[in-house]
Amino acid sequence: MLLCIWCVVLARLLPAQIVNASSAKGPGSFTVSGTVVNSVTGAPIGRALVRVSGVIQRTAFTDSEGHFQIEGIQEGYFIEAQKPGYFNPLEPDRGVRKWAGKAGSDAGSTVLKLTPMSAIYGRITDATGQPIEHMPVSLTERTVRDGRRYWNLRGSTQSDEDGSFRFADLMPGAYYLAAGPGRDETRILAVDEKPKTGYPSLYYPGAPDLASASPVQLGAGQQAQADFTMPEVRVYHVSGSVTGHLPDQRVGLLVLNQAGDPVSIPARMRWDVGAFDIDAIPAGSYVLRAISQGEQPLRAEVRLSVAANVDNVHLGLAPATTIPVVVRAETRTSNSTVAGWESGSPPVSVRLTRLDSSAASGSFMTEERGNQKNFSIELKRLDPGKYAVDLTPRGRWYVQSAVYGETNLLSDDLTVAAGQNYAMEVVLRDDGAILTGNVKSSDGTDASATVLVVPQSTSRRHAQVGRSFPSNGFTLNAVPPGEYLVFAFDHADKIEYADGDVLQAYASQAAHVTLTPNQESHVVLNLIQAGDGE
Amino acid sequence: MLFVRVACVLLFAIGLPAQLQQSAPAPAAPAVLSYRIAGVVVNSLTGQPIAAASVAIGPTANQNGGISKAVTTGADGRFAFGGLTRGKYALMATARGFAMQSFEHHDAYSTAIAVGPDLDSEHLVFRLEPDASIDGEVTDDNNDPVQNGRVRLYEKKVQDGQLKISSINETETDDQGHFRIGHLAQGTYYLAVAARPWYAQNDRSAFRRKPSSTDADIPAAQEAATLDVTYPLTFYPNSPDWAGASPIMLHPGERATADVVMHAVPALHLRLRIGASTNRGATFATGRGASPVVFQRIFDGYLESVFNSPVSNAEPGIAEIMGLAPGHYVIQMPASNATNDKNGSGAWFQEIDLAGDAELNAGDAPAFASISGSVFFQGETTVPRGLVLRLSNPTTDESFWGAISDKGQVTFNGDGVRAGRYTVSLGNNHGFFLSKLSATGARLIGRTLEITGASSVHIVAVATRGIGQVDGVALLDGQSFAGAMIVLVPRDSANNSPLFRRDQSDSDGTFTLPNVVPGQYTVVAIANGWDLEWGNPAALQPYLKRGEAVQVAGESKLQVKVQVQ
Repeated sequence: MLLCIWCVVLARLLPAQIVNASSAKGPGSFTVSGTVVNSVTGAPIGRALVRVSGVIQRTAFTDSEGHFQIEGIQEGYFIEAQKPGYFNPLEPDRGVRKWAGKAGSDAGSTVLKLTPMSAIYGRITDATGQPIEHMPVSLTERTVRDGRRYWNLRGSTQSDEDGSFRFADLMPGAYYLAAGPGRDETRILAVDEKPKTGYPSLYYPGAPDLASASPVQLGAGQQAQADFTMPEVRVYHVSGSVTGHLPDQRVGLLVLNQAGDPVSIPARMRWDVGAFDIDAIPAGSYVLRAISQGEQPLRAEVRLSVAANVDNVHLGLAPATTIPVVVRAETRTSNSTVAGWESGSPPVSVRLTRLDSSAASGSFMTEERGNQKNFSIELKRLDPGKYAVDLTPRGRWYVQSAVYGETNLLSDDLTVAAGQNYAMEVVLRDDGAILTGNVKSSDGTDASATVLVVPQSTSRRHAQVGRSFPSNGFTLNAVPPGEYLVFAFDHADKIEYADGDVLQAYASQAAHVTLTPNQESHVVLNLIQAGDGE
Repeated sequence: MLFVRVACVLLFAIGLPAQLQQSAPAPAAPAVLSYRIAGVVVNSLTGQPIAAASVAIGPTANQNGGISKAVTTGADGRFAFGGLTRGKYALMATARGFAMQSFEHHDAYSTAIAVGPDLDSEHLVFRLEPDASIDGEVTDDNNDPVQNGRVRLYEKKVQDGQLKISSINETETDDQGHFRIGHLAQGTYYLAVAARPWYAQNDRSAFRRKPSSTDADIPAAQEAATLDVTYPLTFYPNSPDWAGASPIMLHPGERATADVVMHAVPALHLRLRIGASTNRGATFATGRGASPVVFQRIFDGYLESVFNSPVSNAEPGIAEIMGLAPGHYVIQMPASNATNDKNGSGAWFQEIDLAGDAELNAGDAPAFASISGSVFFQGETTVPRGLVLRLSNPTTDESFWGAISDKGQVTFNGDGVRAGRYTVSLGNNHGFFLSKLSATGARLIGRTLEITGASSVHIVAVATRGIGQVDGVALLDGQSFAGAMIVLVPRDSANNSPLFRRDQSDSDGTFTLPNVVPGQYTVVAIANGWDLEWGNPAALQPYLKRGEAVQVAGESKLQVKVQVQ
């Protein structure tokens, strides 16, 4: 795909030029040479693999000075470099850098920049400085997507007999480390003996939860050290009952910390007798989640605050929540409102992303079925929790309202609790406004930018995003009528623009627009430099 | 006493109910006498007492239950367990830097502590061996780290009576090429690294010119020279051949370093001609029959898996194994059982010394010997469930299992076996033993089957109830001797290795040899026999003269006194 685009671009650049028949490789072939360097330090990278591909593939290694020279190149090629430990910011999963070669010329001083990957490592010791082995350690990254903050589990491991752990091949970002819970495994336990002490779950540098933890800000090519000292704390015993399942239906039990991440505390679930117990759980706040899969998926969740032994916890399983989404689309034809739409595909898709657990697998998309007359959307098998709701209308439609029970989904997140019975009711309209505009930088020239159209009403929160180009500006269709502040940022991918306070700082550089139904408005924006681009 | 260390770890995780009784001393009435186990835990290397060691007593292999009591030593390394009824107890300990060990252990055997009248169990010196470790760095010709390399650790020790080198652990190198293997006991180790160059591209079709170019193919050859390379399985310190491997002699508590440099060599291509099918889809149906399995022979016959060698099925009827280094390989091709392949081949294998590109034809290759069997259960109206017939090759460490159906028919797993020597035994025997054994298609001597070629081998066996047991005491100059290696040696021991039994004499000199197949045996007790190649008749011969001859009949329990040599 990308390959094809470049090929098209290159074909248009081809001058038929015979340059430097330096080796007997035939007419129209020339030499490419250059250097591969570390994009952070500028130092040359030796023994990197440089690959030129196009009509044929040629590779060469850079020497100790980072220099390479490849002969016999045909017109129309592109060139990339790779080496383990480096990645390309544009294509983070490939560790290569692509560069369109200028065809037909002797590209003598091509410089390829590779960005080094980073690592976080450390040691876990007890209060006396002794290493703790087999302590679980997990790495979570704080990311921003669509202006919101999300937490993504990036890795988990165990400390070795030196207490050491290491997470490598990381991209720059803000990372949180959690270690524990665990116990001193060098102490043998008799069969009926319950452990009295253990190690708690701690977030680096020593906080009990994510909210009070400090992230490790990792830059490109950085090796960050993060050591933990684990206090020995009292551990307790929790037990209780689980009901609501069929006698032979398997039920699993998960113990999660406040951040919604599973903690490795051995929990015994005996579904045949409907009882469970957990040994050696350190004091703290937890969530117990019971899950039963199968024909009828069941869920139960209980928040637990442990400061002593607890023995009467009840997990009442209820069917996992399915939310039907009811869509009504209103279109005005001469003063009357008609419901329905013509084309086959539904005019809106719904995506839910779990907010209160970094280990939850991805998002839930709508499951759509039926035909255009008898159409239904369902969000199935949802665990209790908090979700961000993204409604994406298509074509000329915009979301006029979306509610779930008492919750206005245009301004608030969705909270799913076991046993709920609501439907999500979405109303679409097609009388939106059109907003066009262009962006000027401080010197008056046209600039490319990410445009944020941020609603000013409390009942609607989601901003609309568009891309503005120097050549023809930007156009946003189907914008819900209302009052807006419009911002143009050079880079918006790190800005948590869903948070109103964050945008407050830039308010003076925004344009104020009022959009009315079916009208087109135009605005000229000043480019806002948001700081770190990548 | 036989004590399985792995089971010990599981026991205190699962929490089996303790069945060992501990009687509290009743103040007035003449209660059951209670005994104590006490002593000191010391570092076996320095002799110093170990503070904060965790010491526990539990059941021996013949008893049920989990760890019954655990204590922690103070600064003086002392421990004590009181209120014990007479009997035998397994004693184990661990500490930071000392893996869990049983008292005076040798592999799976240890000395159990016997407590009772006239027995001293309160002055024990528990020598714990400190953990050793091996760490190192794997780099390439350019001094760059080799990431995700598989580091394999082998140990040279007596296993099943033979001195051999076999794989015991494996780990991966991290992004800096580092690895570490901890919790090792003293011993003789070898290390090898299997890795792939990060830049390797072994599929030569990627280098061939595209149709539109008119250049000569010289550049493609240059590409191949740069990229179609591989790393041989490299043995510490620096050898692509196992014969050049140097042993790492680990002493207790030693932190050894073993760095390895991987040198890229041109990759070889092995083409396998499979069947006459011209329909590509037919020969390489998904599932079984799709890919060859490659092993490399190292260390006198041991078979090591070779993985990550890409296989190309680009040409119909040909499987091309790419990315191999020179070496001695065994290639196995499972049977292709695609439905529309009339010329599909059965499973076959080929052993080859690869020094350059080569081609093998399925037709030339020996097929596997197919194995089947039938077992007649003497005196039983129904065939007991769960028993299996087991074939083991001690040289390659391979085992094949044949489930015994309710009609006594034995079906073995796998595509068949290669030629070699295999021992035959009854697995999950539930009190049965093979009283008669015969075979067609292979030579049977005692309980050893010699399979030559691709014959059809059928084993016929009679299984009879009546497993016996030999209990005894080891004596030296009239005194009981603890910690001796006890071996129950069958007649014609070279061909009857499944009949051997072993134990370690406990603190009162007693031992138990359970699960004995009826027959004639010699029991020997050897004081420092733990490095002896007891399965080798020549090594054992000098001890047999002074051993005790026993005749084990079905379901009998014998008592013997054996002199310690």
